[in-house]
Amino acid sequence: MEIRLDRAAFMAELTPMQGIVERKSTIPVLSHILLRCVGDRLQLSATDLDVSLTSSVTGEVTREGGIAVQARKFSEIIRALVGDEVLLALEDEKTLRIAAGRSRFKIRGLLPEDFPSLPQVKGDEPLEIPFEGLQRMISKVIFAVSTEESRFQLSGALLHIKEGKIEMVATDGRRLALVENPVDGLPDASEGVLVPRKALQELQRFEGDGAIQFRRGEHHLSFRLGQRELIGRILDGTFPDYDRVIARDNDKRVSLDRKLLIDAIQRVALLTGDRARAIRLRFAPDEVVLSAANPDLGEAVEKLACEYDGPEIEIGMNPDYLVQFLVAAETAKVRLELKDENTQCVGFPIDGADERYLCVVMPMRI
Amino acid sequence: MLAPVFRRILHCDLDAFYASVHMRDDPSLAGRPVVIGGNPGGRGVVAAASYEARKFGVRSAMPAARAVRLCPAAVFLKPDFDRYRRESARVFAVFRETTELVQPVSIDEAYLDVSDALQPGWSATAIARELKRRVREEVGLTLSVGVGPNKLVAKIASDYDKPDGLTVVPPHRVREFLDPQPVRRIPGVGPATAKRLAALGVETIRDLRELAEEELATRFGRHGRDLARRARGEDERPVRVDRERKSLSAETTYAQDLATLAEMDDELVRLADRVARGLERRDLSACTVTIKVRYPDFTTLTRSRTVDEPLLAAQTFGEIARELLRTTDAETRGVRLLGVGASGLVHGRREQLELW
Repeated sequence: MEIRLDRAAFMAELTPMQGIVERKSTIPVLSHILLRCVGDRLQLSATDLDVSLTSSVTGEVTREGGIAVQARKFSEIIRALVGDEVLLALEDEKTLRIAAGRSRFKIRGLLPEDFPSLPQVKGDEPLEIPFEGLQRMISKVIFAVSTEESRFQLSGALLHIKEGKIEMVATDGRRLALVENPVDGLPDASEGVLVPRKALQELQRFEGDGAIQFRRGEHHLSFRLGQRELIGRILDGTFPDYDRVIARDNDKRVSLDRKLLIDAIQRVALLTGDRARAIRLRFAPDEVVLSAANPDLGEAVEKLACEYDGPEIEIGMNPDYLVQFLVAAETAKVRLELKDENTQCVGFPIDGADERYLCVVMPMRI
Repeated sequence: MLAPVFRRILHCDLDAFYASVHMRDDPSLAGRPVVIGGNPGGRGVVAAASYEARKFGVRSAMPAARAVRLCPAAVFLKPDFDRYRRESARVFAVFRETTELVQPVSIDEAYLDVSDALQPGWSATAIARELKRRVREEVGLTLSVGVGPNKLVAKIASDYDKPDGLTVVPPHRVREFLDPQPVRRIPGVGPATAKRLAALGVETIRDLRELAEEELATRFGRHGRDLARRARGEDERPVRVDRERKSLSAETTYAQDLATLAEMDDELVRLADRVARGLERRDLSACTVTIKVRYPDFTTLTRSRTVDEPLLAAQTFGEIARELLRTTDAETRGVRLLGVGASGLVHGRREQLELW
């Protein structure tokens, strides 16, 4: 292979590859990216076997061919070079020559055949999903995706395409976030699909506008935006029956100023430990009292105005769970619906842009 | 009076504690070799042995079957841990009436710092005598006490004249006391280190002390400098009252290997329950559950899982333990020992409730 490239354009496609490459992989080739000259383009690919990213950049190709190079070192070199242009050429089948300005590098690589072949997601016409809207939806649920290895089936978000709308749900078994947005022209898909967390994170890093082309294969999903295609393995496992835990008979409804509540929670939470963080919220007519106590640290109390006219109720909660919802809610005011200290609290934005957004948070027994 | 220039540390060690409790309560055992442990016909392990049994070579942690061969006349008794804990608490109460600075090392062993408890006319020696008298008269057990300027010397001293001993090492006699003793007496010098030291011609603590610290450091690394300090009888470690608990566990060695998953599950549930109750008593919860598995060929392994939110329900511990068991070869190989442990301990019993 031999190609002359615009360095800035190349860098723009090279950088997102770093997020895919496994840092601590036991399989050496997974710390590499595959470079391949085809036609008038250089194709780039990275994979961790669950999530793959491919992209390409145009250049002046004089010879086709490819090589897999160590992703981090290669990217460091390209970034450090001077000049607008960079030349990549194979010295021999396992050595890549890099030239820019007065710099010359020769780096060792692996044969392209040793790089895993990436899954192809073919099939019907892709669905068009507005990219910005999809990113917004991801940001509203991703915090609830489980990070516990043992909860495999919760380590992604459920993406459910319905007629004229998209629903996304994530839960770690203790809280659950659900968002639903209208999207014109979507057909009804009978069942949802589990998108792994890493694919969601990478989608959040995508840049661009317009529509993402979404395809669902048998085992993989494809998200294509411009030159980039992200392919994620569909998570196996049964997502729990989430509709059942969205409490509908919580009779105590409290409205609060979202920003004031975030600030108050974060102040009070300063006096919680590192683990099992819990604060108390006591709701009384027109006032909520937040408090935290820790035998080693001391205690904190803060009062906040709210709109509430029901009986007094006290509930313990993980402050992080509440704050993550509140940050994602975006609206000026939010409503919390409660029943008792052992039943899930359901939070809603008031007058939000979404057709439907809610977050269910299970309390803590203190 | 003037504050003492040197600390006065006591190391108190109950003599053959488990066996002594039984012998105290059953006069017919007096003078006989007594072995506490699992069933000698099966594959139990010796938990403790009376001095009479030790004369035959019986030691704790050896298989009970071997103890029988060494000392066929021994009386074998099953351990009664609740009783030992009760008796231990009575002894520790006596310690704590003497000074607040009591650091429990185990159920039958503690360090006491009596530097500040010294009243006019009361030497550390007198306090040690009084402790021995009270434990003998009030609890009916004998105590060996070592008195020294630090924990290291006190510990070696209590071991010097067991049972029912009292060895006092004043600061100016530390060298004289330690020098002739074999290096193995230094806590932390095990068989491996002793062998390497012997190769250097080091048999006694004096030999060790006379070796250049640099040479020890070269050969043994940081442990070498530590050895040199110990040989000189130096030890700055304070007596720590609140030794924080880092983990809690329960395990059992079975008379017969457990062969089926169902049996193992039952046992894990029982062990998990014990651990969960232990946590509850101490007002703790735990983020990590560990299981320990020993196969019939004695290969031992552990598996653990850490969760984001602290656990406290016995049921959850049991469920996780059972899942972890399935990541081992227990089902095909069988097990001779199972254990369940909790670590990543968190104060308080806050419980994050689950949606499902």
